[in-house]
Amino acid sequence: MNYGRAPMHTFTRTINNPNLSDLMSENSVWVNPKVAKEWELENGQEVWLKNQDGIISSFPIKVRVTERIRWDSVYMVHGFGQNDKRQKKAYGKGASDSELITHVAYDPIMGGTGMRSNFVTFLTENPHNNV
Amino acid sequence: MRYGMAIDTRKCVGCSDCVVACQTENNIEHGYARDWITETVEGIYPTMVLEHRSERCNHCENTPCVRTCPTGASHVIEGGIIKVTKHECIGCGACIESCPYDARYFHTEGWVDKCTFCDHRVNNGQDPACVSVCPTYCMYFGDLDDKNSEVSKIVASRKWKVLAPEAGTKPQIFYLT
Repeated sequence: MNYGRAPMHTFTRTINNPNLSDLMSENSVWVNPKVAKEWELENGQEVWLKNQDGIISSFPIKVRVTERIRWDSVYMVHGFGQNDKRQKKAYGKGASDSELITHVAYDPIMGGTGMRSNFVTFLTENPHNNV
Repeated sequence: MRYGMAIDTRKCVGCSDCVVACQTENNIEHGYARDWITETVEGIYPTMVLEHRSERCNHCENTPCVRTCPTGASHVIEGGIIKVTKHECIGCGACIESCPYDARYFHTEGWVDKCTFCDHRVNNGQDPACVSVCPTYCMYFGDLDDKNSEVSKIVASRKWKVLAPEAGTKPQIFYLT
């Protein structure tokens, strides 16, 4: 799983801004058409992501089928999946990549962290009974 | 005097700053916009070509919107800018149907609204709001009749395309490729 930024948003701190949330209110998980065909995913379909340690995203995320991503990885924009209900515009929109990052690689010499070292799978059925 | 715009699709990152600048400058109602970002992807993964475009009214030389307007509310002002007089507009929507770029929309008060090339700023010698905020400086605005203006020079020196050339509207926005 890869994560990155969107040009209009500055991490989580702008996702509740009315003008900017108008431009992009939730993130989506980018999936190559080959993978989407194999998983029978459609554009706009809601999925939950589960990582290699069994962590499941709190909120569903919409699939975006695009050629802009390789078939061996998925991409999502960082900063979404807000779980504080006081952020009325942003609450529950999209999924959070940070909760899925449970494995972090450290550089033994200079201590740099590599956080794009997690693997996810799609769950098409709602894994949370209470949601 | 013929105002035009050149937009560099190789520099545009699709951040939509132009959209927010227009909304705040022109007090656009929430949920509406006079300009928007289009993203096109051609080809398949390793060799695909991505293009971001900031689109708006093309201020065409040949104007289907002005021709179809029954009341004369849609009109051309100096510099080839197309504007709508809101108290003359009856909201029939003929211009919206005739526009090949889908650049017009109904204002909630019943009249038709569109990009004005920020004529209130341009008349004071400023760039339109969208051009002036662009963080990658991918938009150029100026007089296409003046051979020495920045926009004429860049249109003369770079490859460009216009949108919907088959409509024959002679748009004044050039997308540099």
